[in-house]
Parts: sequence; structure tokens; C-alpha cells
Amino acid sequence: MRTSNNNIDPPSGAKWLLNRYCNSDLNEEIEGDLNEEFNTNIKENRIWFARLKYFFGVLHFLRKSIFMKRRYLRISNSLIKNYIKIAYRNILRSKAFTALNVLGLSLSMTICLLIILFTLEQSRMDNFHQKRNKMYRVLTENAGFGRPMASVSPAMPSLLENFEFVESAVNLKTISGTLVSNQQSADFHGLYAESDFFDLFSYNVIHGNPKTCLINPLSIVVNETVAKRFFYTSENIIGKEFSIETWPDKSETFTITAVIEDQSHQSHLKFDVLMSFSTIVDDIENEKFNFGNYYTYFSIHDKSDEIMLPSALESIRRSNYSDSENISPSFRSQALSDIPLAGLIANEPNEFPSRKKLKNLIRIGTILMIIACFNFVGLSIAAATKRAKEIGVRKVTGAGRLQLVTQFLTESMIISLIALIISIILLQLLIPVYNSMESTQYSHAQIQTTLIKDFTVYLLFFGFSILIGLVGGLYPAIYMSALKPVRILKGSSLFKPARKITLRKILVTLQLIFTSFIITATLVEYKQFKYMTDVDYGFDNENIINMPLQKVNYNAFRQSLLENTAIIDISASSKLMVVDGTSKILIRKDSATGINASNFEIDNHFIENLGLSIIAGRNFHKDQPELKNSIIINQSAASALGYENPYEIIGQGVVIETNEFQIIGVIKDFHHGRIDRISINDPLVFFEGDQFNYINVKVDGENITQVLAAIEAKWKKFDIIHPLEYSFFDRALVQRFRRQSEGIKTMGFATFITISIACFGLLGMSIYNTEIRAKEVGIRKVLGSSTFSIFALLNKEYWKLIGIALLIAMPLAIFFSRMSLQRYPYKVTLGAEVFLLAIFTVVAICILTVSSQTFRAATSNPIKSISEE
Amino acid sequence: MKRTYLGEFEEMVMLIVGVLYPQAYGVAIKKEIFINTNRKVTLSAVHAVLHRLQEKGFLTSEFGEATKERGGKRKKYFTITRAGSKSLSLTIDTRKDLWNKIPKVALQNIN
Repeated sequence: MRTSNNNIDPPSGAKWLLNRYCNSDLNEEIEGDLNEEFNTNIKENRIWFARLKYFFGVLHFLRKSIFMKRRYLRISNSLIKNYIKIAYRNILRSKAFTALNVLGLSLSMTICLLIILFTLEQSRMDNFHQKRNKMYRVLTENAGFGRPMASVSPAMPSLLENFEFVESAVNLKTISGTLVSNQQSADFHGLYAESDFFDLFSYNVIHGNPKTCLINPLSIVVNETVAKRFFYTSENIIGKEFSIETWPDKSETFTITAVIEDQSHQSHLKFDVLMSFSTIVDDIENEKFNFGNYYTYFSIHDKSDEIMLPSALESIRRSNYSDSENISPSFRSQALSDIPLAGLIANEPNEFPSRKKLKNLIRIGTILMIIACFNFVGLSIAAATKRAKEIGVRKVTGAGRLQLVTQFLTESMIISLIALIISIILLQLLIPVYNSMESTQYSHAQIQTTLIKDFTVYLLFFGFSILIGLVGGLYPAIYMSALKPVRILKGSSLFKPARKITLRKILVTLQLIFTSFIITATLVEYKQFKYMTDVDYGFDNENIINMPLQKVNYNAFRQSLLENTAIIDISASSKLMVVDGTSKILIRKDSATGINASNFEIDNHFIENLGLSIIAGRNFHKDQPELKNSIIINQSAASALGYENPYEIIGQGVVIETNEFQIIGVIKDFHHGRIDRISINDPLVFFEGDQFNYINVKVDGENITQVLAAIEAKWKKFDIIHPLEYSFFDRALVQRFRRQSEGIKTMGFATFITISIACFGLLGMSIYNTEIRAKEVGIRKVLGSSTFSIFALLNKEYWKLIGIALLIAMPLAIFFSRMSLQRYPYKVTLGAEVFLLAIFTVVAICILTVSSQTFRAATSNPIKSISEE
Repeated sequence: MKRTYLGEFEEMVMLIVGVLYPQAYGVAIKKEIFINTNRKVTLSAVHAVLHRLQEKGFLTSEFGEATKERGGKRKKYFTITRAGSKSLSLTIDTRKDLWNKIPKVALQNIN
């Protein structure tokens, strides 16, 4: 007989389809109606008919539901506002968690923002020229340099202007020197430029006439900074004069004809002043084959004429350069917009950041951001266990999956935006530091802060932040919205059996490895640096003030200074020991192959002043300049020339660059060059000179400021215009090592970031593990475990990770440190203490981070955790 | 703005909802339509119209009891709102007016 209706169910396949694709709101009534009909049909014993009708009913609804669904799922403005309000409240509720996430994100974000700014700025290089799409410069190839060069001969512009499609071509030459005016002087870097310079380049001339200012020889155009430096204003200075000193001894008077605005845009051309090319045009008559010093930039009338460029340059080559014997140069054009992308060509007018550097920066930024997102995901999921109840309640009261996901995404995007605000603030601090770094200044990679006021920048930042919020928030959102409410509210644990190797564990271990590695590397580099700057160089360098002599008469100045009783002795040299580099010259004895030696020119007071010891022979004669062919060498030079006993080389003759010299003395070896480059056994030769660049003033150590003031007073009597410059050896040395010291600071900064990232990763992991094992801990406590033993138990699994990380990282670090120290002839000895310190630091960081959670778990009230049903 | 006039089927469903007051729900409406007009309509069509009318604000709904026949799902009862009754009466009045306006002559020819 017919059994009760309960035994026959509507076709399950259709049912599933209905549940899947019908919105849960409508689902109930629709399914209910279908069920009712189905059962009515069953009652009338039409089982198959019932099934069929049910199935078709479902299909019908599917059709209609597409139409219906769209209306019900429209997300209106007020809904988004609601999400934001809820997200805001949630964030306030879990302040600690939010703070951690924000912090973690903003660390990486700050650096990424810097990289974004930098990339944006570089991409806009030279964008401000109006003719930028039609501007090019000429490159020279095969001119004996092996690589293409950015420079050409000065004859090029006039050769180019013979072609009709060329609009104007400008000759440029770089020049550096000193500006002198109004009792002040300053070094400058500038360009000689032809008179149609401003036709081509859209620099803003604020005073003066751009068309005429570079016509007359000896005209100079300054920028606002220079103007204000010398004249305190940029108004009304046209007509004033500068005296310009250039190497070697030239000094000419220029007249200011115009003032340009300070550059607020990036350009690959950097200059403080422009000087008229007509000044030097007479000197370049025969420079057709000089490819090393002049630059030609030009524009064409029409962009479409671009294709005529190769043949034009080829015909220039054929008519002028095809019959030279030595070199056969060829030329090609390079568009202005291609310059930053093509990478540095040899002989650029300025250094600028290469494309490779840009790519590397982008890579670093991406990695940083990915790691930050991982930590964000980790922390969010760890917090999910706490919010499980909330999610359960939400689902039961009707939140759809999509709505939950959207809500969590909104939360993560808001967190990301908060991190953005903090990052922007931190960025304001970071940019000046970055700009002041030596390597930044050298390659002109500075970021101009005016860019911050640009709207595009903020748009980019905002978009970046939203993207990060989405990427980082997607997985947690999906994870959290998938939690089954019934299970949660019933209290069954979210406990998943702990797998031995999870992605999270791998990630945290990787972070730990990297942290250990970078801590070690930084410590090693730091030790080496301290060693190099503290080591004893073998000559007297305290209490010696070195000053550039500039144009002052040495002997007269010396006499005058010695009147001061605080001054012990004065000597002079062509270069500063160690701080300046030297080139090598070849010394040959008896037509043997000869040795390469560093060389200095000194006076006869030098050796005594610096406390060097003569072990054989004598010094240059005091009070009587020697015949010009006497030299003093160091012991290593003597033995390199074949004389183990220094006494035997006294009086011997050698040949240096076709001149004969006699050795009159041998001094004991000392460090005359940078300790990271030159060994103590490097051969050295001293010549006696009569023109010196520096004087070395030895003072008695008391009251150096007073002595300096006295010296300055005397200096003014000799040279009122140029300021007295002086330096102390140890400070100058540190300056010379500026690159290294900045490198170490950067490494320190990177270490800090790496440690922070590792801490965040660990924190996420430990919070998660603690939550999962809360019940287990509670049971253990009830059964009698002490707080401490639980503490130790929970910490145990982290020891494993730390152990693995250190095991992998430390050998690598040792190997790397040894390798990197190889490049120094004088290395600091690496004792075990460096590695122990690194290990200790890593362990301490981990344990501290993890303990915050394990301690909390160990001291938690077991009643709470077990009774959470 | 949504249309304020009712389509033919919409009007039909609304009338039936009124007739079945207070227990108008999907299956019942479908049955009632068939009883009164001999028209066979699908459940999904009925539901579609019910929801469209609800969106326009002409109907309102509330959940009723669940029964075993429905597999534990509750019924959804629809009732006509004030706006709905207004638009319904407007529609019917308009029709009546038009019907009265037709001169007898026009109709006689059709016969």
C-alpha cells in the first residue's frame, strides 16, 4: 500500500539545482510550493508525473530566477554605506588586531609608495618640453670607445641644419667650475649652450629674453637658487657679473642675461647655469673628430619625418667621416623619450638612474608587498577564530555568502586605507632621508617632493591601497564566509588536525631564514666598517688639519701660520693621504719590467710632520729644495725592485716615464691608501714638489677651535674671496666611506623591516595555534599541568621552526660573509661572537613574539575555554 | 519610475489574491486561477508576477506556517496593499469607463 508521503522525496537532483541557483529569500516559498504540489500528486498516485512536474517546475524557476535574482542582488548606495558603517564598527571592536594589521601593511606600503613615486617621476622625465615628441639627440658609434656614446663632435648641429626637415639643432657642452661674485664663491655644474637652446627646451625663463640671452659670448643664465645664493634675490640681477674659474686656470667674466625658474620637473639634463656657446666657439675649429665632449640635441618639424633621420645621418657620415683612417664613426638618433628607457649610454651628460635600477626596485617592492599580504592574510585568519560566533549569528539571521564576503572585503580595504594614511605620513620622513643618501645624489635619483601635491600621485596611491586591500582580504573573506554557522554555534571546534607542513609554517620559516641571514650580514658589514675606520694607518693623523691651498702662496702662508705658537709644524702635499685616490706610475730599474707605484708630491717637512720613519738614507733637504730628480720610496717598493736590504738601494737610479731619478731615502711601510683597497705593501714613491694642493697643519691638541679661528684670520689676509676649507683626517675618512656607511644604514633599515615582517608572521601563526588549542590547553590544566609546563609545551613547536631556519640560514650566512669579506685586503677577523649574536637575536625575537600568545594561553582560565559550548 | 498600470496577468493575479484573502499563496493562487478561468498557468509564472507586484509595492507578504507537505518550508501569504488596491480599482474603473463609452453600434457589428 501507499506509504506515508515522507518516504518519497522530490527528485534530489532538481532540488539541489533549485537550492543552488535560487536566491535564499525566494527559495523557501518556491521550494515549499513545489513540495506541496509534488505531494499532492503523490497522493493521487502519480509518482512519475509528480517528479516530472517538480523537475520542470525547477527549470521554470531557473529561468525566472535569473530575472528575479538581478533585482534582488542590486547593491545600492545605501547598502555600501551600511557595509562601511559595519566595517567601521568591527574595526573599533577589535582594535588590537586592526592595529597589528595596519602596522604590518604600512611598513611595506611606505617603501612601495616610495618606489611608486620614484617610478612615476622617472617615467615623466623630460615630459615638460613642449616639443618632446619631436626632439632627438645624436649618438656616436664606433668612435674608438667600444660602446655607443651620447656625445658627438661639435660640427654636428650645423651639418644637421642643412636638412630641411630639421627644425633646429643645438650644441651643448658640459662644464664645471667655480662661480665667484659679490665676495662669495660656489662650485657649479653647467652647460655651454647655443642661442636657440630655449627654442628646443621648454625651461621657464622668468627674467630676460629667452631668444637673445645666449647670443653674445660671455653670457650666463642662472637659476633661482644660484641667483638667491649670490644676490639674495632673483630680481634685477640682469647685467651683474660673475667671474668663472674653470680648470685648469682659466678665469673669465660673464654677464647675467637671464634667470630661469628652478627645475621642478625631472630631466636627464642637470645644470645650475647656462653659458653661451659662442664663448667657446672659436676654440673648437678643429674639433670635428672630437667625439667626447659635445652633445647635439635637435628637433624636426614633423614627427612623420622621423624616418628620414637614418639616411640623413648616414649622408653626414659619408660626406665628412668616411675617409678618415683611424676611426670610422657612425651616427644614429635617439628620441628624447627613449633616453630614460634605453639605459645609460656611455658619456652621458649626467648620471641618471638606469632602467635596471628601476626594475630592481619594482621587484623589491613587489616582494615586500606580497609578504605583507601574506602576513595580513595570516593575521586575519587567526582573528577569524575569534569572530566565528559573530559570523555564525550573521549567517543564521540571513546574511548571504556574497554579502559576507563583501563585508569582509570592505573591512580589509578600510584597514588598507588606514595603512595608506600612516604610510603617507611615514613617507614624508622617508623621502628626505632617501634624497640625502650619497648614492641617490650621485645618480640623480632624488624624488622631488613637489610631486606629492600632484593629484595623479594620490590617485595611484589610493588605487594601490584598494588593490592591496582586495588582494589581502580576499582569501580571509572567503574563508570566513565559508564557516558553517550551525557547527560554530553548537560549539564544535574549528579544530583542524594540525598538519605537519602547512603553507603558513613554510612561509614563517622562510621569513625566519631571511631574518637570520640579514641580521648576520648586517653585523658583519658593520664590524668591517668599524674596523676600516678605526684601524691605525701608521702615520700621525690626529691633530692635523688638512686645508686646500687653493691659490695661496705656500711659503708665505706657512711663515705666517708658524707665528702662532699653537701650530707645531706645517707640511704640504699634492693629495691627501688615504682620503684621495692616486694613480699609479711605472718605475723601472735597469730595464726590468718595473713596478707600479702610488705617488705623491710632498715638501721636505712632510715626512717628519706625519711621523713617518726613514729607515735608510735621508729626507729631502730642509731649507734647500733638492734637485728635481730625487725620490723617496717605501720599503715594499725597494724589495719589489729587488733590494731586500733597503740600504743597498740608496743612490741607485731608476727610470720613471723616460726620466731618470735617484733614490735618496727609504721609509717604513705604512697605509697610504684606503684600507679596503690598498695593502700596506703597496709600493709608494714620494717626489719633491713645488706646487701643492694641500697643506697639513699640525696643531697642539688643546683648544682646536681657537687655533682654527686664528688660521682663518690669517687666511683672510691671503685670500679674502674664497672661504677657508679644512678637514680632519678621521672625519674625512668617514666621509670617504660614506657609501659604505650609508650601505650599512640601509642594511640596518632593511633588517628592521625584515624582523618586523617575521614578527608579524609569527604573531599570526601563534595567535591561530593558540586559539585552536585552547580546549586542549584547558583540559591539560584541569588535569594538573603547571602553567610553566604548558608554556614550554606550546613553545616547543616554534623551537622546531627556529631550529630549521637557523640550520639553513647560518651556514649560508657564514659562507656569504666570508665571500663578501674577500674583497677587502684587510678584513676584520670574524669571531664566533657575530654569529652567536645573530642567533641570539633571532631566538630572542621569536620567543618574545610567540610568548605573548603562549603565555596568554598558559594562564588562561580553563573553565572558559572548555565551557565554550 | 515603474509603470503604474497593470498587465492582464498581473491584474488577474491581484484579483485572485484579493479573492483568496487572507490565505493567498503560490499553489492556491494557481489552483484558483484554473478554477475560475480554466487557465493553466505554471507556478513559476505566478511567483514571478507575485514578486513583481511586490516590488511595485502593490502586494505585501508574510510567512505563514510550515507543513509536512511542503517539506518543512513555510508558506508565503500575499495581501494587497493600499497602493495595490488603488491601482487595481483604477484599472478596473478605466476599463469600465471605456466599456461604457463604446457605442452600441460598434459591438453589434461584431456579432
